[in-house]
Amino acid sequence: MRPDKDLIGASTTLLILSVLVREPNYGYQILRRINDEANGLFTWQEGTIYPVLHKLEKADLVRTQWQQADTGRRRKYYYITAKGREALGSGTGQWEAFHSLVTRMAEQTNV
Amino acid sequence: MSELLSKEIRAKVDALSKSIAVAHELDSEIQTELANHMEDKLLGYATGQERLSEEDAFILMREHFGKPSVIKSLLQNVHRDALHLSLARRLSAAAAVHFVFLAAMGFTAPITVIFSTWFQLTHGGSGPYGPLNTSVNVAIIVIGTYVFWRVLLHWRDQLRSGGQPWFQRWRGTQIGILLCLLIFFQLFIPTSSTNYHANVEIDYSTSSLVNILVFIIAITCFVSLAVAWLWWSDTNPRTPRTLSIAGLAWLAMAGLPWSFLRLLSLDIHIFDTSITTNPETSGGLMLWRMSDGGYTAICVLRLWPSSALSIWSVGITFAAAVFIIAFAKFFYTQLVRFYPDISGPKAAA
Repeated sequence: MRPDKDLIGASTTLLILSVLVREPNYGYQILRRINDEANGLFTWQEGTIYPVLHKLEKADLVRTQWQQADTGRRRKYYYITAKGREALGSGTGQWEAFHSLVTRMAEQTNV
Repeated sequence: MSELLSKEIRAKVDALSKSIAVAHELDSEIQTELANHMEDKLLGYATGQERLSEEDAFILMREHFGKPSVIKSLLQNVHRDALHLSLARRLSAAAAVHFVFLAAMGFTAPITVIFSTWFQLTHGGSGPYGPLNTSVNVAIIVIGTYVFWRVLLHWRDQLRSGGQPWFQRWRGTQIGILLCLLIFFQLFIPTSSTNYHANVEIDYSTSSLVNILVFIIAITCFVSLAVAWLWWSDTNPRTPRTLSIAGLAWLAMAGLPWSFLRLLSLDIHIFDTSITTNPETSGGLMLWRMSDGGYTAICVLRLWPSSALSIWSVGITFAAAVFIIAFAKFFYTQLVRFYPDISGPKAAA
């Protein structure tokens, strides 16, 4: 079952922040983490993660820092900010509230 | 790690990342970030760290396979004979030959008329118009039937050897225009049965045995033409629908030009071979007295006269076509019982 496109869009920010709350990371790795967790539930167009990351940076939910990798290549790492943690907490709460509401209502209508 | 990638691929990655331009003051940073991601992804695939999903595999396969339109075109060039040859195209090709055959039949009329006129002017008397006309008509029916079969067999062989006859190459509209022109051309098929004065004595005398023979030859040829038509329309795998459509097309073809002519009710002379001569020297027979005192011979080229094309003659023509095609269909279906592999233009696999 493929989730609805709008559903994926609404959860993108929370999914990225959830990865970053564990450890700072760069775009490619963030995506891999999410894809590993999703285990085929959905597939992102990889380039589309960057507009989201840059939007989070502008909203001060994440900050960035260029770092030299072991291979010598410069990578742009994303760090979650305090505001980002707050947003993650509140977003997760809202998501759970909605999830329980939808589940409860669906159960009542025997869907 | 990026050293694992070749210079060519890295250049392609750079070009791809640069194609995503946002703002000049940001582009350098954004492009570096995007290029890094692309390189990571490439290396992931190259080293097997990145798992290929079904969709990824499909994208790779599609890219490696090549453009479908190009492959299709190349395959069509190799397997020209396997190109779909629709029933409409097959019927159109046979109809074109048939109309040319009818026109050829029609144009024998002036030959017989001119010959008879010459005979009359040089020898006097009505001339051998009747027997000559009958002989020429029978000859042209026999020759026409043979040519019809030969043309269809030639096209069948052409298709089998990988050739592309015109009815396979041409567009549907082009074929349609050709058929319309050929039907229109039927209007200009000459007739010899015009402009004879009512009192002209024409020798139509032929023995009854000859008449019976002529009738048998003519009917045999017409049935043979109908069988050729059905054979040409038929392909393996054989379906009863194909033969039914072909039969209806035959009837439409038999009735259409004549109905068309009848509806127009035209009687317009296009070209007259008017021969003004002295009645004393020509014997006065077969010549039509004109108001100026001279005599005119025969109309050689004219639109089909409405008087010679009554609703009855159209009806009889159509009824004859029904009879002929029904008999031909019966004959052909019996034939394919014994020779199931008989089929028309379909090329060998």
